Amino acid sequence: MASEGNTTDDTRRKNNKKILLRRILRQKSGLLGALLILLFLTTAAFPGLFSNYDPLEMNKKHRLEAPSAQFWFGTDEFGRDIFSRVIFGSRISLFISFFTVVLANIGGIIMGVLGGYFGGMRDNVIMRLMDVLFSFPFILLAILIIAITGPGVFNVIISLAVAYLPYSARIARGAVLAVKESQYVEAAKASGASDLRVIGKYIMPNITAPIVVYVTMSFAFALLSEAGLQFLGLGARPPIPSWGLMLNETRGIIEFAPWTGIFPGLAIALAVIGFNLFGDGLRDLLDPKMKQ
Amino acid sequence: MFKKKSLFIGLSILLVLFLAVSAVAKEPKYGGTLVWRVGAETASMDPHVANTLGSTQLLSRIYSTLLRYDESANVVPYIAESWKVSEDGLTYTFKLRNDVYFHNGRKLTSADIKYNIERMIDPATGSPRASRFNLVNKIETPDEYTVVFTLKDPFAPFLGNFADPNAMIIPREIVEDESIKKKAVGTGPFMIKEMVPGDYVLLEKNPKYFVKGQPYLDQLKLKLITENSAIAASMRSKAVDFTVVWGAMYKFFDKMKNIRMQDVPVFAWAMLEFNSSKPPFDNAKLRLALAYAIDRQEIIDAVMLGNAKITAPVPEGMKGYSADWKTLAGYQVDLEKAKALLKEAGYPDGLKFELKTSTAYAPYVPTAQVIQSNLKKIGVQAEIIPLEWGAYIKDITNFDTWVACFHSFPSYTADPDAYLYRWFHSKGAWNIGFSDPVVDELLDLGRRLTDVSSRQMVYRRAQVRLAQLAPAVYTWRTRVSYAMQPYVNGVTLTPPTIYFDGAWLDK
Repeated sequence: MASEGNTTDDTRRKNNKKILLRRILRQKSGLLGALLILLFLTTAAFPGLFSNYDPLEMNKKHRLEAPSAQFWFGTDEFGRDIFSRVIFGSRISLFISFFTVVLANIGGIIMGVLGGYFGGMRDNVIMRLMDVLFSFPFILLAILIIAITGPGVFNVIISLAVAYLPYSARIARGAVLAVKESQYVEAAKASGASDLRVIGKYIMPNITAPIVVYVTMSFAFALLSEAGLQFLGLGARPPIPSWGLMLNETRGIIEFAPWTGIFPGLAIALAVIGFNLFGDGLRDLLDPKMKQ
Repeated sequence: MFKKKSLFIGLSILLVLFLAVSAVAKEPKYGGTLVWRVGAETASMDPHVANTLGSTQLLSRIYSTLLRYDESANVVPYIAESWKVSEDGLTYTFKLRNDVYFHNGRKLTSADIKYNIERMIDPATGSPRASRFNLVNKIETPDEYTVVFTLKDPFAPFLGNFADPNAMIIPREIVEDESIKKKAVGTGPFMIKEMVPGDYVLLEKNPKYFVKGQPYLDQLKLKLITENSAIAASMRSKAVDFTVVWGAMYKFFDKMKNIRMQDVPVFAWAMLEFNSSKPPFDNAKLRLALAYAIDRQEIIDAVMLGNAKITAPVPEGMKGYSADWKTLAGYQVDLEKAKALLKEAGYPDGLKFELKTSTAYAPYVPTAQVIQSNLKKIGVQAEIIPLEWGAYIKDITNFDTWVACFHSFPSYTADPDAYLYRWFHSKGAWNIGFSDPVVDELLDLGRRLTDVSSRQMVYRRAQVRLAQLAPAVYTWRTRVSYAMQPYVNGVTLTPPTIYFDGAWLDK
């Protein structure tokens, strides 16, 4: 009997795995997104593997050269290799986006979950606070914070995280409200579980799916806003290569040297598309209603 | 023989005259609106306080000055129809025109000139032009159209200060009723019709302008556009009739068809300043070491796309006064010398310093980047701090908050004194923390001397001395042109500014 039971369990598990794999493979766009993200993660982790030139090295002899076999993406007005700058630029962009997303979501989820779970006065205070932050246009709030703290990479992270906080707090709170009234939560409460246990054991696992999807998507958002702030000159200081800063530097010359703007722009677009596709795929995968 | 020669000369004179007459035979046409692209708005409506290019561009259409420069930088009459300088160089007598009216209808008299110069000198006004006039001992007005200035000491560049387009003459009543903060009532060719902040200022012609028959234009519009590609596009589409072109903008305009370009001598310059009043740059050897490492030509090629020149402190255009930059210390790259000086200065392993600059003008941060890359070669780390204009000015006007900075200056007076005294004399208005008794003496002497050739020698020597002590590294002096649609005529392009009173449209 026991061995028979094990076999059915095994086959079911195997079947489940197969189904999951098939479903993952069916998400072609999601996979493409994952590949793009992987690509940028690799360039950010090992930029030296990809670029032959020092991204900071100015070269008098090769100024404003069009893309060629020697300089794949051409050179800028200082004779710096744009390919290397785009590769190294992925570092700072992903670095800022990652920490922005982590900070904003840790803060936001804690506030959202607490507010949603406890309700009442506590919920009111937290959410009205979020509403105040919400009432500023996102990028203006970030610029305001940087105006106070001064430009710099860490200040960009802080400012974007604060500006982003209310968004993730709302998502988390909404998700908590949806599962809070379900019977298993009621049952856990009735059996005397502490609040902490109810949140950790019964609520969090059931709101993971929407939050994971949301966090992935928010990468794209953070990346774009980061590029925007860099463009405005509020982030990294030159000569550190950064996609937004490169776009800023190309403004005066893009008309006759379009490659100085196209490639950093393309890098931003691809990275954002990557996170969006991946987030979409993840949502389809995790959404129980999409199961067939 | 003699007769033939004089006949020949006479005929050639006639021919030249004929050619000259036929060249200007086109009669100016009245009417129309000229759109002038500007890069900045005015920071203040008070001409005596205003200190930015944007202010000069707007206000010197509305106000006029006692004298002005012509296209070859000679001082010519404007409100004053003639002037006399006494032998000892102490008394300046100006005879004013008797037909100059303010836009409010009141006639301008010698009392207005007295009032204006006194207001500029008065510390309460806070005029950046105070130091140009505070050598004035007394101002007398013997009659309605005569002003006499008596100086404490001879001051050779004194006359040029009246031709500075910023030495504008305002009516006393707009100061008294405080309307000067938002209104402009001058004696110039144009009056403000409409101001839309962040977009344009529309000026209309002053029918009672004292230059007879002028201005020809009905309206002059100062349109604010700052992006190079947007400027190029609006010239192509004829949305803009007239614009200045400099630095990287040439790349757009060189290929443009049906646009007239005219080069002008420009006295603006850009320099890397060191704060000589505190470590590390109180060390002259260290400053000179850095000067030897900076590749000016590379800056010019990369940032200005070749449209600028290496320059001595006094611009090349001022022949005789300008030192030959090739002979000056620290003007040509010599990394060995730079390293040796660095060692002598006590920094064998280089050093790290903050280089402040502003994001307000396109070439600043890129220039700072080339400087940074140049200095890296001798082990000196410059950390670029790009700041917004207001914050930048605040930082560099306090000796405690900067050690090195990079920016450029326009200049409105064509006298060597204007290029040196303010920065490098220990009593200069914008002294950058630098003080050297020899430089002080030379600059004082330059102000007192009236003989041109000895003045030239004094200023050349001052430049040699300044290059050795390197309180600042002169990087580039941009080429400047004005680009205009083919139907634009008669704009007077003087080195310090341009005048539209003779401008007319042939369309």
